[in-house]
Amino acid sequence: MAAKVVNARKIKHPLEDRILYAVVYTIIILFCIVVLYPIIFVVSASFSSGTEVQLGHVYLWPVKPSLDGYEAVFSHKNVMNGYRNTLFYTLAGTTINVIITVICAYPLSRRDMPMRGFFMFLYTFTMFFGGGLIPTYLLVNSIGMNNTIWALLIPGAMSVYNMIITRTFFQNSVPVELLEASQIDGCSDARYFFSVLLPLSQAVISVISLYYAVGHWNSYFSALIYLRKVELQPLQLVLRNILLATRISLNEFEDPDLMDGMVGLEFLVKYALIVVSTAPIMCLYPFVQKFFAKGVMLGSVKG
Amino acid sequence: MSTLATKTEKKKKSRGASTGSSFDNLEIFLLHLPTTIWYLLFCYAPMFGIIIAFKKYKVRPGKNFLWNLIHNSKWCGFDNFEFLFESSYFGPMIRNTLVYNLIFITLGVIIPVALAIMISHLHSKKVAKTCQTMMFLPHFMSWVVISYFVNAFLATDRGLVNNLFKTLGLSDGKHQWYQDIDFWRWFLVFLNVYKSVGYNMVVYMASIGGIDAELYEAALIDGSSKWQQTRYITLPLLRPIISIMFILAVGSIFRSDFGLFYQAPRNSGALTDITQTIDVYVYKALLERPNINLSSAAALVQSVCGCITIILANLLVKRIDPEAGLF
Repeated sequence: MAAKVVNARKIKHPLEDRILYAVVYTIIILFCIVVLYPIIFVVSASFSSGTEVQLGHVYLWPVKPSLDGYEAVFSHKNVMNGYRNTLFYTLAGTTINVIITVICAYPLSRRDMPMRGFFMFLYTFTMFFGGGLIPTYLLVNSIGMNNTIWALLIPGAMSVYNMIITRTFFQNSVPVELLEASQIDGCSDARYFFSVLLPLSQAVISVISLYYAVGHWNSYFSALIYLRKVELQPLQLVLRNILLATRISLNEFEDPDLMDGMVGLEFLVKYALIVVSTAPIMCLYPFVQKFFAKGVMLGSVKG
Repeated sequence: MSTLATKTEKKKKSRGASTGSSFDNLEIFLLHLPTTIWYLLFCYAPMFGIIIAFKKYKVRPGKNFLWNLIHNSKWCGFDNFEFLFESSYFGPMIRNTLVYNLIFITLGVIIPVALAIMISHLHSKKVAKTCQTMMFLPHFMSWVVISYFVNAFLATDRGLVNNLFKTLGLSDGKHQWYQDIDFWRWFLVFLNVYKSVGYNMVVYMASIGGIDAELYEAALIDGSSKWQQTRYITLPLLRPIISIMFILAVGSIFRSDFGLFYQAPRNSGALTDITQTIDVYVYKALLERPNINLSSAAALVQSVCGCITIILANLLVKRIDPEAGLF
């Protein structure tokens, strides 16, 4: 009897399959190592002591654990300021993005919207053709947004891709009967929008909010072009400037004497910075990832 | 009772009759107005800016952009384009953009599809989920952060790779990685795959999840191996989604990821020959060595070519599989 069971198993996994599985597992494990190792290394290095990092003794686990790097990062003037700015840009930017996207997508989802096809064309056309960086830069410059917080919030206020996801969701997942029923009950369009449609669309709204929020958190390009003032710059741009500078000047810290003579300060600051700047996204990660995957599927529905 | 009924009926009738009239839908039209205005200002107004490419743009301090553009700049026909096409950096710039994009598009289909299929074969659903989660991770890191990782590994002074080589006695540990063009040629490809593979995989994972399990059961009864199942069931069923992802990718063949080509190599001068793509050039010509005429011309070439490629790619895919077109 037992022999038969073993046999049955063997039939299920012929030699060819076992070779295939060996290959599959090897490749997947390799990929995972390649993705994870840099992250583990940087986290370990950021918690190690400066001397050990400078000597290159850190490979996998923290050596002589210390929090010096984090102390240095948190007393760096531009970093904390950049952090505050990024939080502001992410919150304000995402709010503006979501409002604009929703009020654009809802009318387009209504079949009785006048000139719907025309507007849809107007929006999708820009996915394929655009004025480009320079005219946009000159425009932002000439309306006086350059070097203000608005340059990061307004010109990129809507992504057509997210708008299409939202519109498709409104169209396919909210039954049109609900609109008819509320109209018969004498409900205005505005009331329907706020009391019926929005509560039913929480899924898509969280997806696009996360898309926008992650985008704002990681964005540095618009800041690179538009913002010259250090006190307005978001964290990513501050990080970039620190990375590009060959040496970290002690004057950038609130308490230069404390940092003076710290061995391997530059290395520690760089590693700790990566952790500090990515930690918020990583904490949200499991949750963000689920919604991202959902959003990709929502977006792949043609419409 | 009867009056109520007629009232409702009337209301229904009036609504039915007025469908399509713009007055009844004034509210939703108004709701839509702010976005339209924003859109015309920030997406369509800059399109008129492409005339800079046909003018000799001059700036007089104190005057605004429009005045400069219309009164202060002379038309010069295709001079800017001629100048651009004849310049020594135009060839490499186009070559880098196209060749790298071709590699990225090919690998961007093959690797995610292969990995998605492999992960779907894993015995434990939990392990499969963990793998997917891990591979998605780099997508959430900005290019600035990725360039820090790269720097941690490749820094000449105390970079991890140089350290390791020195410890193992393979080199003196002083190799200048940021000057090594042969290494970066391939490393750029690796970085692109590293950052995008998890994101590209999601679509394929979901499509594989949507395949009817009965097909595999039937195949199993017929004694097919996993490889045969993949070859004759999974791949043919993935074809439509692969072609859609393909057109989307081909449509942006003239664009390049600024972060990858500018941020990750830390704008190293020695690597310009392979990292200068159209986007990097336009950025440099706007902020580093201002030349608005040439960079507008380059941007316009990029836009027009991109627009043509996406239309062609769509036609091509439609011919192969009429259902799979994007528009």
